[in-house]
Amino acid sequence: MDEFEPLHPHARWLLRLRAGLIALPPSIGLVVGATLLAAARLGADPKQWIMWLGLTLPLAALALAWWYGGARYRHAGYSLDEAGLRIRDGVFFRRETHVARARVQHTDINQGPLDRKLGLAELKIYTAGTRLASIELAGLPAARAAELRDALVGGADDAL
Amino acid sequence: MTHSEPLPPADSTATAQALRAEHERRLHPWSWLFVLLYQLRQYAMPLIVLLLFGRGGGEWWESLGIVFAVVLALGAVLRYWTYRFRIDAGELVIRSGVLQRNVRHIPLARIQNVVLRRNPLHRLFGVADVRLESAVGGKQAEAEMQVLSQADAEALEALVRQSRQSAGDDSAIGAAAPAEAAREVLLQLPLAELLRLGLISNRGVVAVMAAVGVLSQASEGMFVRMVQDFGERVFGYAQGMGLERWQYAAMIVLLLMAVAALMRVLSIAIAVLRFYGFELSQDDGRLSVEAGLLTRLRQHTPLSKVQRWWINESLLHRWFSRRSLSVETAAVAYAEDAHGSGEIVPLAPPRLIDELLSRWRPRLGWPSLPWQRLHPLAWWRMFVQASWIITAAAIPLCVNFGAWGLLVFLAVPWGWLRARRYAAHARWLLTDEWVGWRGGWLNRHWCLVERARVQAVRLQQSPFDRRRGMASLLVDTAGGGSLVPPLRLRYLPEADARRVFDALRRG
Repeated sequence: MDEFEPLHPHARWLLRLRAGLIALPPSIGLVVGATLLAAARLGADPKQWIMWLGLTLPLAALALAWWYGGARYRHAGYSLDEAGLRIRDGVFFRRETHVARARVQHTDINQGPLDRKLGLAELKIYTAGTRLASIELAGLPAARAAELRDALVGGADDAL
Repeated sequence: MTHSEPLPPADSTATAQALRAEHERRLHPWSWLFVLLYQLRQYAMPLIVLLLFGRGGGEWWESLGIVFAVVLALGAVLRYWTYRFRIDAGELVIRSGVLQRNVRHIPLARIQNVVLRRNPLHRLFGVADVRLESAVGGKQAEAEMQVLSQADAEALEALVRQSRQSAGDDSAIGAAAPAEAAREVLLQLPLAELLRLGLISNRGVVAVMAAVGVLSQASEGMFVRMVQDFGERVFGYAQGMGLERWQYAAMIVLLLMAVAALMRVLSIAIAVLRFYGFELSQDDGRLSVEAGLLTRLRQHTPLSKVQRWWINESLLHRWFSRRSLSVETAAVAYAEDAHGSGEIVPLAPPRLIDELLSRWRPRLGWPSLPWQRLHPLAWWRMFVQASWIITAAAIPLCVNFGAWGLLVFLAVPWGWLRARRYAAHARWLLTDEWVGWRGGWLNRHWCLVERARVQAVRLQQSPFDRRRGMASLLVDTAGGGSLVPPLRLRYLPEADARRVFDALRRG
């Protein structure tokens, strides 16, 4: 299990932010929906509902995202060996993906604004496959991403 | 049936030499006409609908249509004037474009698939529509030559074949096939077999659905009006006869049966249209499939480029004691295209498919393979999953229809039965060279992949799986569009799944 290298420690912030961006809109939608429903069906005061729900639900969503991002960071990892690259990901639904070196068609490294600030990079590996035609590994140390790319590309090629 | 004589065999070596020697060639002089017709066809359905059912009176519509057609025609002629190709040092070089010039080099040895298509119009002009497909994904073929003269098309076909032989590309596994002299016919489908194919397939249903989709898209109001009109007329007619309630019911049942029968008749018609004169032949390491009543399609697939083998046996197949075999090559395009398909054996007795498969891949050892069982709780996993889906479906139904929505839960026993039967029948396979899956219950399938073809592997575990020591694998290969289900080895004991994962990792 421990042959896997962890992501960059700062990656947990990236993962938390991503989880937060996913969790927040539905929670706000839930607040609005519940308020409208309560006002229409129960004749409740919308202002009070908005105040309570609007405070608690998004906060709960953010807390969940905080925990989820951290958990995802703890479970994530990658391992480069002579066969290829293995990537481990997922909190509830765990998955482990393997790409052989010879199967890599090309790679991308990209850095968003937050990545640049935290010194992170995302490695994207393209194969000739269909479902796994592109495999992403986010939250790498920027230098390590370049190393992985160099290790994966430029070996023997029999991509098909 | 004069239309259906087979295309002449593609061994025009002399023309191939000429094609190679010449510096640059154009498409066939009539190609602009075919490009234009092809483009017009894209808009034909909406145009026809507009003309027939449109509210009328809009004359500017018609003039706009004429302007549109003229623009298209000009474009087609321009395309003809600017499109040139040549064969140069084993490469096909295509120059095209008016303002945006484009030069494309395709190494002939990289071409995965050659598709020749001739409809009656093509035959009238002595031309063929040629598609060359390489392993690049996406919907577009690598080169679409619309259209070449019959001689040029066949010369190109021959060149692609020669280049592959000289490149020694068949050395890998394709060479295992016996290198017999020339073309050998492996399978033909007589009319009786086509009737069976039509009965088994549900192409009629698919075609009707597609037509309904197009109609309702083209003019929603019109479509609804048509359906209402028809419904009212039938209803009025029935009322006029003054029927009892049970007679109504009987009539509805009869009507449904008539519709089902009609669908089957349509299926048979489509099967005859598509597969009339079907012939599967082998020429060295290359398979050729040719079929079609009006539009004749010929495509070639090198055996060495096959990524995946898929055998299908639906319930109807089983009743007729038939199966079908399809292959996928890395050329993604054709899997989702009406131009052709990887279905190299649309219908054959199981024994014949066994023979063909063990001839093409003798080291596989088909059909006696060491299939292995799933995790003992696999059925429970499937049943739980089905129950979740049923529950998810019940919620909106209950909101809409009240307690009647609970009727959905009648599907639970069915889900239970299916899970039990599926898990009892499903098997997975790992040999030194192959990985595979046998799945299904009423409709069964076998999916086989050479380990050397695997692009990437993924081991997956849900929370349920982790609790019960279970895991599933996704084995990804090139080819097969997004419509084709991927090879999944589901619900294996965790240790086995890990073993398969590690084995595939090492290649």
